[in-house]
This record gives sequence, C-alpha cells and structure tokens, in this order.
Amino acid sequence: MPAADAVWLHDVTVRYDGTIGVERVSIVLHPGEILGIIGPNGSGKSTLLKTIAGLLLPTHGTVEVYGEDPHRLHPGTIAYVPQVETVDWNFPATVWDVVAMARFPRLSAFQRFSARDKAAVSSALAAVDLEPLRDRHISELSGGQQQRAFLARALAQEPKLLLLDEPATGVDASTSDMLRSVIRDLAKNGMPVLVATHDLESAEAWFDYLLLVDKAVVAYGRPHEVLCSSEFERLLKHHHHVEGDRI
Amino acid sequence: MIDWLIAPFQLDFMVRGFIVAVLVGTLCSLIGAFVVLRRLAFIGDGIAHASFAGIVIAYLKGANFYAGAAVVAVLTAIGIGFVHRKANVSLDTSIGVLFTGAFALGIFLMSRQRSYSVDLQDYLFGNILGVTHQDLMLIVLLCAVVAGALFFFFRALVYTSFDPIVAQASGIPSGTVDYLLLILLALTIVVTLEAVGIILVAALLVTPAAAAYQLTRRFSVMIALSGLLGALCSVGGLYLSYYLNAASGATIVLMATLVFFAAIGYRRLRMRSAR
Repeated sequence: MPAADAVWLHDVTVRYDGTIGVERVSIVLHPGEILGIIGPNGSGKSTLLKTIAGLLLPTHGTVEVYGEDPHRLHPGTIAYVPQVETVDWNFPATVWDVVAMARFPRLSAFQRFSARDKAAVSSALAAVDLEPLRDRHISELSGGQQQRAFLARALAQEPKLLLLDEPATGVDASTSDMLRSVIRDLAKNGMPVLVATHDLESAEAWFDYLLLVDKAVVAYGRPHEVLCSSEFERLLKHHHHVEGDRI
Repeated sequence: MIDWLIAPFQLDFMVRGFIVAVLVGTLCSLIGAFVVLRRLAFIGDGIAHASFAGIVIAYLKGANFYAGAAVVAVLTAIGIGFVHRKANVSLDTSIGVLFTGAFALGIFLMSRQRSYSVDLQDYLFGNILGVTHQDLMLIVLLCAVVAGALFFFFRALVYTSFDPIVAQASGIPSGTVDYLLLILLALTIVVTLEAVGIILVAALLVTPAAAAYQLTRRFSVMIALSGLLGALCSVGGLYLSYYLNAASGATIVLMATLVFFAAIGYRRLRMRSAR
C-alpha cells in the first residue's frame, strides 16, 4: 500500500461469538477525508470502527493504520469516540478530568501533567465550547454536552485518526452543527475521519464519501452517488419495515 | 488523654498491630477505590474466601501461610478473569463458582485433619495482634510492591475504570490492566487477612472507598481520601478494640461502617443546605 493511506482494510472479515460482524470488507481512507459508514442496525458499522481501532481482531484479512497493525501504533494515534451511554456518568470526575484522560496514554508514570498537556486540554474544551463548564461534574451534563465532552477528549489526545460512533444521535441541532464544523476543520488540516451514522439527511454536508454496508460493502462513493444508487434503494426497501425511512 | 493514646504502645505486639493497621488500612482502601469504581466488591470477597484453601494447604505442608494464600488468591483472581472472558460466563457467576469452589476445597482439606490448630481460625476472623516480626516484614514488602504498582499504573487504572474501550483504542492495554488489578487485589487481600480475617476483608476494601465516594466528585481526591479514611478507621478501630477488649478486625470494620453512614449523612446535609 502507498504510505499516504491513513486506513487500509483489505478483505476483512470479523466474526465474534459465532456470528459474522462484517465480511470481506475493503476500505481505503486518505488523510483529510471524512468517510461516513451507513447501513441498517446490526450491519457491522460499529464492528468496522472497532476493528480499525484495534478493539476487535479480524478473523481474516488485513487492517493497517498508517501502514501499521493498529496494536503497534504509538499510544494516542487513534481516537475513538463511542456513544455516550457506554460509560457511567456518575464516575467521580469533572469535565476537565475526563478530557485530561486523553493525555494519559502518552504519559509515563513519572511524567507530570505538563503545561503542554494542560494547553491541549484547554484548547480541546474551547473548540467545543465547554470551557465554561470545565469544573462541572460530568453527571450534570446534558446529552449534547456529554457528546461534546467526548469529542473534546478525542481532540485533546491529538490523534492521527478519528473514529466516531453515531456522534449525532440524540443531540440537539446546534450540537450536531458544532460537531460537524469541528470535524470539518480537523479534516481541512489533514485529519482522516470515519463516522458510523444512520443520519442520512445531512450526509452530503457531513461526508466526503459514503460507505454503505450490510455485513459486506454494498456501495461506496460520493454521498449523492451512494444515496441515489440502486443498491441503496434495494436495501432501503428491504429494511423499510424495520426502521421506517432510516437505514 | 496522652496516656490513653500511648498506653497500648508499651506492648510490642500492639506496636506491630498499629503498624499493620496503618499499612493494610491505607493499602486496602487505596485499591478499594478502584474496586468501588469498577463495581468489583464481590470479587474482593471471593478472592478472600478462595485464599482460605491456600492457607490450609500451606498449613498441611508446613509452608508459609502468606505464600500459600498469595498463590491461591492470585490463581483464583486470574481464573475468575479467564473464565469470564473465555467461557462466556458472566463475571458474577464466574466469581461465585470459583470462590466457593476454592473455599470448599479449604474446608474439605481441613476437615480431613483429625485435629487442627486454632491458628486457622485467626485467618477467618483476623488477629492483628498475633502478627509476628517475620509476618510484619512480609506485610511491609507486599505493601511496598502493591503501592508501587498502583503508583506506576495509576493513570492506566483510572482511564480503564472510566472508559476501558476508549482507553484501549488509544493504546492502553485494558485487558492487561484488568488482570494486573486483580493480581494486586489478590496480594492486598492476602496481607490484610491476618488483620481483619477472610470474612471481613471485603469491608476494608469497599467501605472506606464507598464513604470517600460520597464526599467528593473527583477521582484523585476520592482515592486519596479513601486511603486516609482506611488508615484512620484501622487505627481508631484498633484503639477501641484495645480499650473495649473486643475483636480487633470486627471493631475496625464497625468503625468503617460508622464512617460510611456519617459520610452519607454529611452529603445529604450538604445537599439540603445547597438547595
């Protein structure tokens, strides 16, 4: 593969607990590109993200991030933004504490939390407008603020690859717009971004490319190409009874 | 008052008892903060019970009790993690099966002895005043090892306690950290056994940390406060047991229980006045 690829998946199959998560998927993502992954519930969107993050091992095929196995990357290379309900928001921590955790992977036990680390946390908080809430306990955040705190944590990590799982789910329109503009700015500066989503309405505004999956890759291309494709139509019809007009 | 405070220290075994109380009270409650944050209270209880098998085996073989307890406790801790991860069994079931199995093995082996020393009872209920000089050295060594590891892996432990998935994606090996915590927990329990006994060790792990959780909203403060409360309860409980002529382990745990309810009361009062 050329060194310029940020993410390179070749013929990847992931099985876990005896079922197939994704099957024979190949993806290439370059620096500065935002790729949206869409598909029905259980189609493997999250599985793909987790495999790229090194959280799941492929049963077959190759996963490379900047030409390396995800497990061999420098700590802090990949920032993963999960759905907010994956953690306990009663954990004793302020907004600052949670965002500061992003610096932990690159700090050794004897290294102090430096001025450089603090600056990274501050600017991450400022980027998502959470600076005024930095001393607030995380249990006092709204859903949208929780999502912004998670994005701030990813920013403070200063990663080279950003993965987001349903970032716009359950947040208000203004938060969604803010997340999008922050991610757009990152991409403009060369950050590759992968987003699993089922929000199709704003797909053209969010993404450079769309990947439609249903275990395997169904369609790939510019958002309007994918959303107008016959494969998309077919999948939409097939899943209509399950999720209405969303997939 | 001074006399009252100094009196117990005229006895060698009391001096050793106080040193052990401060050490294990602090250590248990430091690691206990992670036990509470990760909801592992049941594991602490399980490992403590399982270590009984190691104590009996060590007794039968004439080996060091701590060594026997440590080996079985660590093996059980790793076994619990392994069965949970590999056999698709829920964590509480995995703990329930392994700790009762190991505890039963201890009772089985003990019951086959025609006569057994009352020493074994000390491990069930604790006998902080029975700590020998040699025990004390071993306790100090184990405490140093566990405290060093807690310091060294502090950030990884905190991050994986809050968000293991994201921690792992960013390069912290969450699975390894989980096992490390279980092993540290097993060692901590073993050094605490003689102080409060198998049946009460879980209290020293959980109660001061749970009290600290009521009093603060930041993990660094909670962990430090938990260690402090654990030390205070242990020393306070030992004093009380000396003057009330009561079992030391039970008095220490009762003291911690009181502190826990006081912490809840304090928090409720503060919340009411904030309104």
